[in-house]
Amino acid sequence: MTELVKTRVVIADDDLDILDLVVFKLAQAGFDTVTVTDGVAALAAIAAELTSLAILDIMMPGLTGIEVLRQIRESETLSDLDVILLTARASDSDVDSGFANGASDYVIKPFSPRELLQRVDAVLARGDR
Amino acid sequence: MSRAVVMSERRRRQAAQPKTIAVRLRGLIYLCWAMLLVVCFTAVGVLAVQSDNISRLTLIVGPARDATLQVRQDMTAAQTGLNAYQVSGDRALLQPYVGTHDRTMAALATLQGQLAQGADGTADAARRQVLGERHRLAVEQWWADALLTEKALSRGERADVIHNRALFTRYSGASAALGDYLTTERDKSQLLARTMSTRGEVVSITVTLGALIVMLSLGRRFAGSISRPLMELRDTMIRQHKGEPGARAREDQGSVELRSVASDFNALTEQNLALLQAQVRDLESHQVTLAIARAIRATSNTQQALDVMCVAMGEGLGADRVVAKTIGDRQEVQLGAQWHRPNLRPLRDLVLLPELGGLAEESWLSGGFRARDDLLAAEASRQGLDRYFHQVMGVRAVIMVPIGLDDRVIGMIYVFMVSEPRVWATTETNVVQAVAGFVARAVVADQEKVNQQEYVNRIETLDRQKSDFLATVSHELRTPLTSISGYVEVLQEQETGKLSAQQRRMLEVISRNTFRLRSLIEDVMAVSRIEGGVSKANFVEVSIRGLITRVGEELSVLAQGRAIELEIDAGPRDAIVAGDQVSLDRAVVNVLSNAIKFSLPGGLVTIRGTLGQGAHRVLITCQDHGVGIPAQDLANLFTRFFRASNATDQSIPGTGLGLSIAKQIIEDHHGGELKLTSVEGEGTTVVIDLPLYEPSFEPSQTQGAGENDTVGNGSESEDVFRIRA
Repeated sequence: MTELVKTRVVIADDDLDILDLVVFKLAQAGFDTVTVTDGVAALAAIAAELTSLAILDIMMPGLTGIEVLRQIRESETLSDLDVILLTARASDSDVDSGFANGASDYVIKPFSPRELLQRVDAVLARGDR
Repeated sequence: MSRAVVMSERRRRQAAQPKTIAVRLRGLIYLCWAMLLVVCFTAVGVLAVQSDNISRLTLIVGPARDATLQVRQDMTAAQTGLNAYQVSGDRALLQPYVGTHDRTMAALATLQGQLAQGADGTADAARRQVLGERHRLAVEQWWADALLTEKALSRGERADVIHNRALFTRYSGASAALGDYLTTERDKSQLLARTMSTRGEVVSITVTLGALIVMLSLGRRFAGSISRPLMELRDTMIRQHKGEPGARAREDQGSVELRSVASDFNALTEQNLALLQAQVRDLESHQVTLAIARAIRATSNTQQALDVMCVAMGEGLGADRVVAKTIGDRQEVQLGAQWHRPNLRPLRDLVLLPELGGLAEESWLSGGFRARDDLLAAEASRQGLDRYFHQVMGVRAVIMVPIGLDDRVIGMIYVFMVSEPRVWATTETNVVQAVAGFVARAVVADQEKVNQQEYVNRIETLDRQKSDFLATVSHELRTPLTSISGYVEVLQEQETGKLSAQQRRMLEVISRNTFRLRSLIEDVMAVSRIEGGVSKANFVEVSIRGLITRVGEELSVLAQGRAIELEIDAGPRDAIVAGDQVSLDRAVVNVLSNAIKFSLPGGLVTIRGTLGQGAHRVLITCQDHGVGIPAQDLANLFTRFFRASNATDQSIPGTGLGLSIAKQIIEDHHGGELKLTSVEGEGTTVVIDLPLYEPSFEPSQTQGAGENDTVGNGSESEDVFRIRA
């Protein structure tokens, strides 16, 4: 079976239900999804294979999403990676700190899966340009 | 010898015994009278002698001599006539003789009368009498003979002429003797008169001058005894007045009254000095108290206050040692401080200082203290406490004042004199008492500060806990909500298979309530954020145009969902307010979303920005034509969680927080005003009235101004745009 090379997306969230929901939505849209439940695993998964996009929850055990983002931006090989932050923390300082650390987009929980997919497409389209 | 001593003694006593002014004046007046009398009597005496002399001269000697001369003249004439007749026998020649006898006799009688009048018992008068008698006899003898002779002759007889002539000669001798004597006496009297008048002048002038000199000298002495002491008294007063408080008047000079005045003045001066010293002492004590109070106030805790107080009190009162301590509920020493002169050693253990036990409480409650001037004194050393101070601590004088708070003693202040006794002045004990009050206040202030700090810390901890709790709750609520709404959406979009109509309806209910739950969480979060306060330091320039546009766009989806026509007039470009953009956005979102929620499908909602009140205010007016608010609900509209009755009746979703949040943001944090007018069934108008930005706000950055351009650019009318369902 020859398969098209799917776009690989790493999704990190400590809430398995949300993880499943995002995976369901993205898989349906044809993305190759990798799921992890903590920051350290997220970094490992991103570095393991060529990844186009990382969707990171901020409040995670181990490394927070912001810290993972910072390490990605500091890394030589991964610094171009698109990152969408996903969080329940809706205060402005969180949003500001997310963008300041180089997030491509920011989605506040509770989010609409449809909207998330739109944002993913938008980010990747921008990246392609 | 002994008499002279007595005299001089008496004079000295008289000089030492002062006289009153009245006595002196009376003496002077009496003396004047006496002098006047002396002058008067002298003059009268001189005049009397003179008058006596002159009256003798003019009334006796002069007329007697004249009478003698007259007699002689007549006698000579008679004798000449008789003689001529006798010789010639010619009766015509007897003419001078005729009638002379009577004249002679008259003159003789006059003379005799004069001489008798002058008989005043003096030798002169006696002599005059003798000579006069002799003269009278001679005259009468001659006339007796002359009469006989003349008769004889007239009869033509012979007469003894010889005898007659002898008689006349005798008469001539007597007359000459009398005349000479009278002439001599006249001359003597005249000389006496002249002498007397000269002497009288001299005596009068001398006596008058003497009287004048005596009066002048007495007057001077009198003046000296009154005016000089008076002037000196006045000088003393002036000296005092000019700042020589010790100037005293002399009490040993002048009259009794002046001495009395001087003595009274000196007494007054003493009194004044004593008062002045008392005042100075009071002032010094007051200054010491103030200095200590200031020093205590400058401290930040009780220990510092005690330390500072001991130093200031010791130096201020000039004491040897000052000790202060505070005691706890179980009489344990909590804090202690001490000061002492450099030559003394510090006390090792303040616990050893007696507390007075119950005495302190009693003393404090009765506003008292304990001061001992000399602990060696018999009545003092009988008491145990005083013995303790003296024998154990080697103290000689002490003041103990309790530091009281409400009805209990929280400490003690001790002021000691070590080697010398000291009479404590009331002002000094007052100082210690006042200072005890200040210390008590410092203790209270310190406790209050500690309490307050604890309170603030507790509040801060609570606040932090609350914020953390809210953040956690928010996070913990959002996470499951994400799953619920996300899966519902997936199901609703039938990505997992087709749904029956009933399933769709049920999912719709889940979806709606999820949205409601989410709104509630957001509102609660907003309330918590606003309660935390919006700091003016973070205010930025917020463009009303940008704000209205932003909110309009955000809510256009909601409007579309409810088939509401949304008309947006973003207002003038230069309408800028200073504020917190997120809060302002939130307020306008709440107002506009209400308008949309309470409009009927197909209704029109307008939001409009305008300048108001002479371009000092900016108004955001949001109007709908929806269900409106019942009149009875208007009053409670801004109460948290209050929902209008028609909203709940019609199951319009909402939390009852939106308007109260908006009002709080506009009025409490931005100095604006939120006004709402509504008629049930006709619609609601909300006006947000904000002050235009004044440069004094100095915002840190400009934000949101750029969004202006996202909404049309060109004329104002083009800025109005509609979002249609």
